[in-house]
Amino acid sequence: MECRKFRRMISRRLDGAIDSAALEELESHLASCEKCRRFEKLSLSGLSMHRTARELDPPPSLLPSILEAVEARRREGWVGEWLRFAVPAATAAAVVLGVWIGGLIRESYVSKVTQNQTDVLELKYLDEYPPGSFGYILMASSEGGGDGQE
Amino acid sequence: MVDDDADLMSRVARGEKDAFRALVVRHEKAAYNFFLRLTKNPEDAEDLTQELFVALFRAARRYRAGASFRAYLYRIAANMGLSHLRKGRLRAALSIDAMIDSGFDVPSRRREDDPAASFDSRETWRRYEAALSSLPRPWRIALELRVARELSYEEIAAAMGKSVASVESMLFRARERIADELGGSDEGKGDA
Ligand SMILES: [Zn+2]
Repeated sequence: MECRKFRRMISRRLDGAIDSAALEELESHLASCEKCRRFEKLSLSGLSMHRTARELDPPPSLLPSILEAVEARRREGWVGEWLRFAVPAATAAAVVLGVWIGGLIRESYVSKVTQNQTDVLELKYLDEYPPGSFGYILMASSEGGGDGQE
Repeated sequence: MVDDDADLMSRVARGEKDAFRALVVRHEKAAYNFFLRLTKNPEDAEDLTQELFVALFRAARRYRAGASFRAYLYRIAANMGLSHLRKGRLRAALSIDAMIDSGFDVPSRRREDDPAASFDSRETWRRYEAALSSLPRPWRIALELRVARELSYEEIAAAMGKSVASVESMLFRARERIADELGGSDEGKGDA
């Protein structure tokens, strides 16, 4: 149990994570414990093997394929972003356009009607109305009725 | 270095392709070897390295410069490696001999100039590698991050989502297990 505590310290020492007081305590234990010295030796040899193990170069095709994959993602992302933005934007634009066009139609209709109404209001005599129009019929009946009474 | 990485990440977040390329060039080899040791298969390592950098690119906007970049990178890498191993998506792992013959994982010193020492180190390495492979995956990852990638306890803790005490404990238990396995068949040789 005592030894396990010191082996934990050995592990910390391998990582350069031990303070000087603990180090002193460890050294004095190691001086008298062969098993812990053996643990230290094995751990050190493992560490040095692991550290000096050869690192392979990645295949030269890896960098271009990473850049290509990211570029593809970026494009995908653009399309996604675009769709996410474009659908509500197109809807909004359609509504605005609809309202505007509706406004134009209404405006031209209203002004035409108003124009007609004004024209109609300014007419005073039967012969100024186009034959068959509502005003003509109205004037004819009122004028004719007057004639008949006279 | 750390500041440079953080700076590059913020440029990546702004969509600068050159900054991303620089990050990949800087960390590609370490990441590739991290995955290679974990999967023992070059094709898996290549795929995972590519996935890692694509994930990093996508995460660039969420990265906050205060955190260690390497902890951030290896957090993604460790999660990917673990989930890859868990899902059994592995292609056949190369045998230790095949890895050694392909130039991977052999302590690089003394190989060419001293064939006898080279043979000896191959034998020791074979045993070390076998012991390493028998460790629980998180211990293996912690050891790899500490020894080969030289991350600090704090960085490993951040990368693995563990406390510093738990990282320290994983490293100790990994070494204890390895020493048991190496020592078991080495008992007769003595300390010389
Ligand atoms: Zn002891």
